[in-house]
Amino acid sequence: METVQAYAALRSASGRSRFDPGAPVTTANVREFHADPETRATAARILTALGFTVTGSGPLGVSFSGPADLVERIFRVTLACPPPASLSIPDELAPVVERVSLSGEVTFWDPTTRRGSVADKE
Amino acid sequence: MSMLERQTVLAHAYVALRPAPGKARPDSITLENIRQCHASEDMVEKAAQTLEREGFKVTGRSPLGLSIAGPSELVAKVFGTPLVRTAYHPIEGPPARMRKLQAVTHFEPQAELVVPEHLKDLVESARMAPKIIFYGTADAPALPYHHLDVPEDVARLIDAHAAHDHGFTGTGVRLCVIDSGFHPHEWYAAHGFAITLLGTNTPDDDWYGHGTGITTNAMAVAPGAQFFGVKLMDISATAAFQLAQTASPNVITCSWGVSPYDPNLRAEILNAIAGGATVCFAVGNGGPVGWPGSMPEVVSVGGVYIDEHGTMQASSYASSGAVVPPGSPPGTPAQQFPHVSGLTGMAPMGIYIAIPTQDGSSCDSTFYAGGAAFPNGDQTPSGADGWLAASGTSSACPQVAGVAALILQANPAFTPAQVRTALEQCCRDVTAGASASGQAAGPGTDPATGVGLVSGFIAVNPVDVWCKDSADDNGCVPDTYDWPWTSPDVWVRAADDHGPDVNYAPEHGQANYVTVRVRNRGRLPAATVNVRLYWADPNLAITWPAAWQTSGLLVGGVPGNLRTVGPVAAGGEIETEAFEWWPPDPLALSHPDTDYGHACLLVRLECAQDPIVHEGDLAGDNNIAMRNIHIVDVLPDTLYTYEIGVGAIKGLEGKAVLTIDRTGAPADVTIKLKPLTFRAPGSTKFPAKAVEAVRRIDNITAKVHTEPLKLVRGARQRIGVTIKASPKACAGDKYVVRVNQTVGGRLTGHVTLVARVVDKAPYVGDRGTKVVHKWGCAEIAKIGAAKKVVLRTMNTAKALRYHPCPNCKP
Repeated sequence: METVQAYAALRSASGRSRFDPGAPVTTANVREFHADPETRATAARILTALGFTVTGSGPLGVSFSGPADLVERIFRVTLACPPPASLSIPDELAPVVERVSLSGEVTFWDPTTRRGSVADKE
Repeated sequence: MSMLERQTVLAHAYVALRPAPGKARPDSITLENIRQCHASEDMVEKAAQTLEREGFKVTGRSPLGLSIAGPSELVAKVFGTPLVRTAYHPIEGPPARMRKLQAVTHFEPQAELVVPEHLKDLVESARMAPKIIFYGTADAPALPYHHLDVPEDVARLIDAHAAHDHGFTGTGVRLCVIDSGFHPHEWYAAHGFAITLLGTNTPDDDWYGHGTGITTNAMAVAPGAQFFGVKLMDISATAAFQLAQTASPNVITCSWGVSPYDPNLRAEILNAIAGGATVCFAVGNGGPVGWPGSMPEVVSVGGVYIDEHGTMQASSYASSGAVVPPGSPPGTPAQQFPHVSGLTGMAPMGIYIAIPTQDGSSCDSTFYAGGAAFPNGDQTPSGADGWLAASGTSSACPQVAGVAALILQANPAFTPAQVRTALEQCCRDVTAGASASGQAAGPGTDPATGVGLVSGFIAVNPVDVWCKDSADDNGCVPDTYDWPWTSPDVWVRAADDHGPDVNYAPEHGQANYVTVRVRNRGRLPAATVNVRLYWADPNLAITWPAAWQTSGLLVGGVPGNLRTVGPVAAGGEIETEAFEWWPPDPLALSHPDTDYGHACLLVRLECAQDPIVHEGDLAGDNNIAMRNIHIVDVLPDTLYTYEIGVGAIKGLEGKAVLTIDRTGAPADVTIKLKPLTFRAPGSTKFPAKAVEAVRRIDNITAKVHTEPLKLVRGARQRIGVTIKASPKACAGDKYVVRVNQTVGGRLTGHVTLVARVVDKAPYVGDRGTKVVHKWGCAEIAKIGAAKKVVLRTMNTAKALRYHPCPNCKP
């Protein structure tokens, strides 16, 4: 079963959205988009309860992974190529998460330029 | 495992069992008779149970004996011998490399272990386990093409060695590598490096093989930094950045890209930078510039290649290009990437730096390429040997991150923006070559390399005054290029006329004029540089300071060896006013017969902004340079033989190899090498054979190496290099022949012979009869080609013990 990497962007404490095209994130304003620690913890807890593995978290978002079918079921999406820009957010996550999106493909800079994932290894 | 067990270091021993009843241990054990030593299964089991009852762990067993482990006190009690606890390093290497290697505990018995009575029917003897030393794989394989090794070559060419010499190693800086994994390769321990791995995704398994190797680039440049590793496998790039943040890194290096553009990763990167981390991203190899390597806020890293002659050019393997950074506000113009560069090989695969990897990893086999020859394969022993030769901007990026660590040690309060500025200010300009994208390098900031190749030393010390050791020297230390004693920045002329270097031979008995060119590789002017000139007898060791002479040197007409210049502009150079030099009487030198016209000029550049740290070390300190001069006049169709002393040097063992490079002489000039007689140390006779028989080499047509010559301690041999001028030679022709002597691979001697053709000479000597003639004397025609010597003055002739011809009465 393929494992999918995804990211949940947290709602900021200031109420500002970093997805507002008129207010791009910069190193000068990035702190304005930080979420409360409780928001971060709540999102991580809910994602874990839904069956996902939290692989990282910070004041901006929570990184998580899970089986593709779980992602498809929880976020009501059919995984295809290219993947959708953002996924539908379940009701229990909506108060703390502004957007959920699939993570990009990583390429190590070597001649093989192949994706680095266990799925590829297998 | 209990905490107590984790904390107790056990002593390991081996007990040899008695042979089973009816068998006897042979005097000498062989494959054929080893079964005679076997104990019975019952004996093995009984011995194991007995020792376990005593409190030992049985860690291994066979019919021959048992391996056991237990607290040292228990070993001492049961086997009747106190143990002394020691520590050692389990991988061999020079002491400098061992500084950070974790020591392993070892227990030495103060006497032989004694088998207790209750075990004697089972156990024949007991011994403490010996130390274990790992060999071999910590060193890179020998590769038959120009390549770099880590850490030495990367540290040298990134100019980090000089920074280390001045105390900047990245100490106190936390540097995090996000990559494919970090296999605990022997290289790390052998060079004293450790890395703290973050995350639970088996970060020490680097099956892909990328991270283990590229990390060594950062370690080479900033060996004093504290290293952290995040494995970017089974987790996303955003997760990796979040994980990295838990270590509060000052520098993060990333040799990868993400597709498609990920606004969340961009936000996480910006958050890391806002939190104080300098984030470096490789721009990519071969294709369009990658992302996040095209984020304006990160340090975007491209590639520069340095060939075996020290020449820099843009790497044809590294990407470059102008793009509108993803995530920018509408209307943002395209920006050019990379910002700065590190070391990268050339297309097609960037094979350049020998780095460790996990045995049999994907990269190990990819670069092995089925054994394909360079440049399509790395020619390491196999695809599973744990080594690859690779590079790309993947290697350049951690090098730049290492320089960022040096900057942060020197300036702990710098923000990432200030670090980025410092990185750009420290760059060496790269003006040749083109990137993989076809963009050309050129003076100043260019699209292919950005501002240029980072310099670890300039990053922490804005002034670097230097003289070239050779034409190839690029200022990096230690200088490893050929002919390091041929500084083009020190030259002699007959007149005080500020003229160029024309390989003028300093003349005894008259004033000669020496000019020194002072360079500054730094980014700030050198306010004042004191240039001190010395000379040394070339046949003696030129050890600082005893051998460095100042007699015969004048400045402004009075004895002295100091000229002061300055300011020397950043990236600029300046020539001193000439030093006046009255060279020593050739008879005062140790071998006047052979070394007339031969001199060693030495220069020290003293600058408060860039002090000398390796006194007397030509290669190790670029403030020191030397010009070795040996110029003789020859007539057309005559021979000149220069005698080279080959001998053992105290403290340096091995075989000597002479390298003769005659590529500076025309094809119709004959060059030969031949053995001469032997000279014992301190004797004018030659009874002692100092080296193995030297094979005569006639008609040297290019650059040749002699067979390795085994040296006899303390003795020397004379070897002749003969230059025969062509009959068609014209006055003014110069034949340049260079000779290097290495012992055990280390350069121990060098001379540049310049035979300068003259069509007439004031005086001509007969080397056989020791008679000197005026030009035009009929006797000159009778002198054989091999014995005809040009003498410029009668003073010289007298100094060399020539007698005046009775006919021409010179």
